[in-house]
Amino acid sequence: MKKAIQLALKLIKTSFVLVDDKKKASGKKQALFFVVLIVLMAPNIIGFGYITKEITQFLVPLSQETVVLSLLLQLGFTIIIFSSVFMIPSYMFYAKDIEKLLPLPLSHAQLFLAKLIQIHAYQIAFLLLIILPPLTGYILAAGFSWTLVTFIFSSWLNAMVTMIMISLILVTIMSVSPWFKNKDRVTLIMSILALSVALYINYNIGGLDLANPETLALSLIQGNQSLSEGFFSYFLHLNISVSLMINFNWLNFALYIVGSFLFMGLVIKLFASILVNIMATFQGGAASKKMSLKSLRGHKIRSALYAFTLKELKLLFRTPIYFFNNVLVVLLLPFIMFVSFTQASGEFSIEMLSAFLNSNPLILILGAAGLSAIFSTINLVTPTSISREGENKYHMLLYPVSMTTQLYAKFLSGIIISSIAVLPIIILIIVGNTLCFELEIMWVIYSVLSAFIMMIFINLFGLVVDVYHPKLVWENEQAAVKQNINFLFTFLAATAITAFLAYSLFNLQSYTTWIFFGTHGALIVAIFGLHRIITSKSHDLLIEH
Amino acid sequence: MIKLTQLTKSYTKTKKAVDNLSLTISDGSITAFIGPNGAGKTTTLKMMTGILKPDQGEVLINSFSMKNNPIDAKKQFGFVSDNPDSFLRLRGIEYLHLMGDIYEVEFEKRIELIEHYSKRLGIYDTLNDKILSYSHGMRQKIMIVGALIHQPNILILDEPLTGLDPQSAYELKEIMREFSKEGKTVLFSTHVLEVAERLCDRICIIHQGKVMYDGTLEVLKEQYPNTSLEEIFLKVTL
Ligand SMILES: Nc1ncnc2c1ncn2[C@@H]1O[C@H](COP(=O)(O)OP(=O)(O)O)[C@@H](O)[C@H]1O
Ligand SMILES: [Mg+2]
Repeated sequence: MKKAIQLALKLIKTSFVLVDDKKKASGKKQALFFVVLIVLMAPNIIGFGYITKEITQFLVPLSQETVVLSLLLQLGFTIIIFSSVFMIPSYMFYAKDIEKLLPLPLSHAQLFLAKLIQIHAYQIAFLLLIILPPLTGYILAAGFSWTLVTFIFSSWLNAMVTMIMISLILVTIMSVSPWFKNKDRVTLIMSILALSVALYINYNIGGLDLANPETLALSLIQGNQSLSEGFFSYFLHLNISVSLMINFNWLNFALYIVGSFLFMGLVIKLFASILVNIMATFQGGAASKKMSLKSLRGHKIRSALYAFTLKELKLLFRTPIYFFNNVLVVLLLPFIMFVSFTQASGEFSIEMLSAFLNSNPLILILGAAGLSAIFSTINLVTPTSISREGENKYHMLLYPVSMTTQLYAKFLSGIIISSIAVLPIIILIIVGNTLCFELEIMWVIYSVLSAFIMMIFINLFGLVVDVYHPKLVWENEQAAVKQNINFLFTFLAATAITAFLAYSLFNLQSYTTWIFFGTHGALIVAIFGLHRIITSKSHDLLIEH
Repeated sequence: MIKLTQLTKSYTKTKKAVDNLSLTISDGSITAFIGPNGAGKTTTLKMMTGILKPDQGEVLINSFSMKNNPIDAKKQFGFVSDNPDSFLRLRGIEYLHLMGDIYEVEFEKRIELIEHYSKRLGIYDTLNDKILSYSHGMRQKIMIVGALIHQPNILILDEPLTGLDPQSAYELKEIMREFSKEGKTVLFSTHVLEVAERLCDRICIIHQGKVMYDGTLEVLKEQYPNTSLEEIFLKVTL
């Protein structure tokens, strides 16, 4: 146990680096990034806490406040399921450190336990980040109680048991068939599973009225909890902890704790060896395809820019982690937004939208710019494009091709991925205007221009951020994209610009035209500035020092 | 021809990884950088190939300056790093065509070279698989083929023989020999002195960033009669 914990601490220390700075002066930088992170998240965090407080205040007189805790427990459970599905394969099976860990004089159980502790620590940190604000809201409204203690205990046990259950399922699947011993395949299947659950939950939540705490609270107690009835009812430990919170009983509580630990101990004892064997035999790559003269010659000669762009896209599509984080988001987010939108606004009609746009056509521009900003930011292609190279960045310096060309290939890949979502929006605007809105054509041209300028600026900005500040040292691809602070800068820039446009549109109405041209002019100037940085400074920034 | 003038690099304030190293490597020769782990071989090769910025000094490759004319300098050589885990999700053949596009190799020529070298190194049949499924040695080999695809005048390899099976090591040495017979230059690093035997025209023993010996292996042996290669190596790098 002690050895396992020591090892886990080492693993956490070496793999959790948000800022990688070879020159080691990163303490201050890390702190700064955390401050920026918290400031950025503050509105959401406070909002989430506030709405929970409102709901709880409404429920306390009805003695129904436990509903809030049970929902939070389900939320925590969902978070653990999702993160486990991605983290367990990433940290247990495919992490680069496995090769170094296997020869160490540790028992299989110790190795397994160390990895479990490592994952558990990350998950708890993440869980706290999300659960603490609403929990504070709850405490402010309902005060302390035994239920709260049960909740905290249950959440913790739930996190552990759930994660171990998922790892058990994964281990079982992988030991059944060698077909599953392919890293990319497993990640893909897991991601599709997780995604289906996410869509299912999103679909159900879409029916809830999130804007009004009172109706929300009422619908919660009236048993409109489709979540807890369908999917969650299959998980025994979750049901036990919910019933414990509603109806506390020392004996059951003790039994629950003992039962959980017994389950975990048993799994570790029985499965450690199987798991370590799987770790050791894990392989990547697909089954062999016969080499032929046809595939030898089946290529066209391409320019360097084209070849590099194609390579970027191939890697984005073929690496499951990248595919899900960088590509699929732009396919799914519009879809999810559309579903939520249609469910949330029952009496919505095209005529209403048309009247709204005709009352102030600048809204069309704001919509185009805002959506373009969201989809260009969310795919993270350019802000992680150097980071994703990782240890292979040196290749960029070997090629007899200018750094500008190589970086513009990365920029193009970002534009192509962003366009998957932005182009349909532009088409929708054009079609919508021709058929329904019937605004002057100028407005359509402006909004299309606005969407393009936004997309170009954000992608270029993200690229330059990554050139200045790549995260090159990582244990698995997940970390290159997900534990990468660079997205914050792009997110910040995109939010600032959109917020400024929105503010000026609604509050400085007499100057809107000036502000519109001013902002976009400034963006174009900024694009040229970023271009200058790429042509003149990028090589010096990317060469090793 | 490769010309290094007073190359210096330190990663930390206290210690120089490469210390005022000057060297000229002429055409048509096989040269080995030999030295224990941490001697500064990789650091020197990285500065030569434009990956790492020297603190001081100059690199000339076929008289193109790496600092002032990096694009032309980089066209002159093929480089194989000691870490071949790259482009894992490309198929072998896709990687080679990518290199062909980058170095603007004419189509028929690249097909001919891909076939020739990959068959010799025994990876032709796996070219349709993703590099992810290759073993360490196979990954090394595909990188070697990729480095040869533009028929460079200079071939630079970092620890190329570590991790290759005897058959492939033999083939690689043969490729190096043919290369130098055509008047081209080969430079590679190794931490084993034996590797240089019967292969190198010249060896540079590097230790703590400095050249401790520069010349042929025969002359070195004459300086230390009745001593094994291992012992000579230990004496020179003491
Ligand atoms: N990125 C780096 N950061 C700090 N020190 C380094 C780095 N790379 C190499 N060194 C140090 O420079 C010296 C030379 O290393 P290297 O050139 O890799 O040696 P070799 O290839 O001969 O084994 C060693 O002392 C090594 O510790
Ligand atoms: Mg080395």
